[in-house]
Amino acid sequence: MSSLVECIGLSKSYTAQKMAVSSLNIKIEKGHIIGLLGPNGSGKTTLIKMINGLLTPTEGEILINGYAPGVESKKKVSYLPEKTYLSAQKTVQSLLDFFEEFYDDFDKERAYKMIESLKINPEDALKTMSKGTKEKIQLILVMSRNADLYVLDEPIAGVDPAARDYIIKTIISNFNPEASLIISTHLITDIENILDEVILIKDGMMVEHASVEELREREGKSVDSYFREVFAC
Amino acid sequence: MLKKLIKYEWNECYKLIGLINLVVLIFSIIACIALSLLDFQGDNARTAFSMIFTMGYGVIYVTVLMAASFGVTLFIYIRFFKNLFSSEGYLMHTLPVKASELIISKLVVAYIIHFITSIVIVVCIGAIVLCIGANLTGDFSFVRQTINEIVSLELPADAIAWFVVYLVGVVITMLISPLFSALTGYFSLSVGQLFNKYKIVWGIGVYFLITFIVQIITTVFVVPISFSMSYSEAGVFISQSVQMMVSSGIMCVCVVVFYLVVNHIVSKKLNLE
Repeated sequence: MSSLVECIGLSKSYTAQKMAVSSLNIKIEKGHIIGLLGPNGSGKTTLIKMINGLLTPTEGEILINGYAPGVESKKKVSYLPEKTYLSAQKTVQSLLDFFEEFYDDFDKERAYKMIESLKINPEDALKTMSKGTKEKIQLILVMSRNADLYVLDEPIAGVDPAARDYIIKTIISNFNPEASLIISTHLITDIENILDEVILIKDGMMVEHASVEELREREGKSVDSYFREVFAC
Repeated sequence: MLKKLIKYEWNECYKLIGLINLVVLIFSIIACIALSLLDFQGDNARTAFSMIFTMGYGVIYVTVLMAASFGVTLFIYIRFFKNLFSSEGYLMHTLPVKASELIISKLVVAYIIHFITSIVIVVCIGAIVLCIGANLTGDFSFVRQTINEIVSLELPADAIAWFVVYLVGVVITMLISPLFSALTGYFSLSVGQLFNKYKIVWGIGVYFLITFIVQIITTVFVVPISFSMSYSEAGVFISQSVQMMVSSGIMCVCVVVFYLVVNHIVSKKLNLE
């Protein structure tokens, strides 16, 4: 079976002195929820950006469904960046129209239902909304696609616990079991129960790629405890 | 997808561009009304007032035209950078479209914007010239007289032929210069984003450098032509026609090279941090 995501000797350096990602070899199969875990500056976001074609690898290659990042891969990948990337002037309605126009797999009805449930007026511009609400809107747009791969970069960072619960609930309830989901976070306790696999990255190198069950059995502790042990300062 | 991108780009741009052109139109209408009412042939005091008003308003009007032209160009550059190389780039570069479609959609809209702004400026200046002429002569008969004078000019046959070549060069330059202007900015900003730090500063530096290089190349090709021609009526036309064709040819080459470099950087060297 061909992998959904395959990284072969993938490296990225921003400066000659330091590698942000170094010789990564990763295979991700369909139908899995993968936690991409590591401390700040470990290379998680760099890897995610390379999956989405926003950064060009220095060495190696990355394949999504057999394609290098490009038009074909972007049809299949739904990406939530770590930062607010939508223009603040845009209304929710215009964003829904935009996603519907450019993504064939965008389910507008599903998005409307989620927006209604949050009691957000679709005619409101993003600039009138709180940070948490903006993050929810971004997540709704991303999770309303019927993609093969969802890549969420720090989706629960910087929001209050109630918003965090909503985000996790939205991810689980809209996630297509046929698809895979890569979720990058520091807040492991909040998402540990939904993960199938974890990839631990330190200084741009992969420390561990294992199923959550296997890791817990082998180490006799939760993923969160294991993370604290591996990345202890 | 290209059509959708063009539509999206236009929707993002038309309001500000409409506003800039509206300001130009308002200033032009005020100028036309004032020029129709001013008295240039009355007593000394009225004529002096008319002259001072015309000069003062003329300075303001030229400033407005320059600001509009500069503003439009700057807007096109900022739009390109913001949409493709800032946080908005996370959305644009993850759309299932080719890099060339992203660039072409922006070029098409930049071209339309330049075209509309140029037409508005030319029409406004033309209207003001007509108003000045009508004020001085009492009616618009001077237009017919001027056309008659141009038509009745007796020029040598080869001078007319070269004048046609000159006009062709002017038309090509007019058609290609909006693309050249937009792509010079796109090229500079794209090269600037290859650097790890101070990307905008590098972009501005590349802009001045590339503008300087293009001017040097144009001068190197054009100056020898003007020295090699005779100073007869036909010689002047030939010289200017050849210069115009050469400079428009250099512009065409730059447009192709700039586009290829921008496309290569956006599709193969993107580093969105």
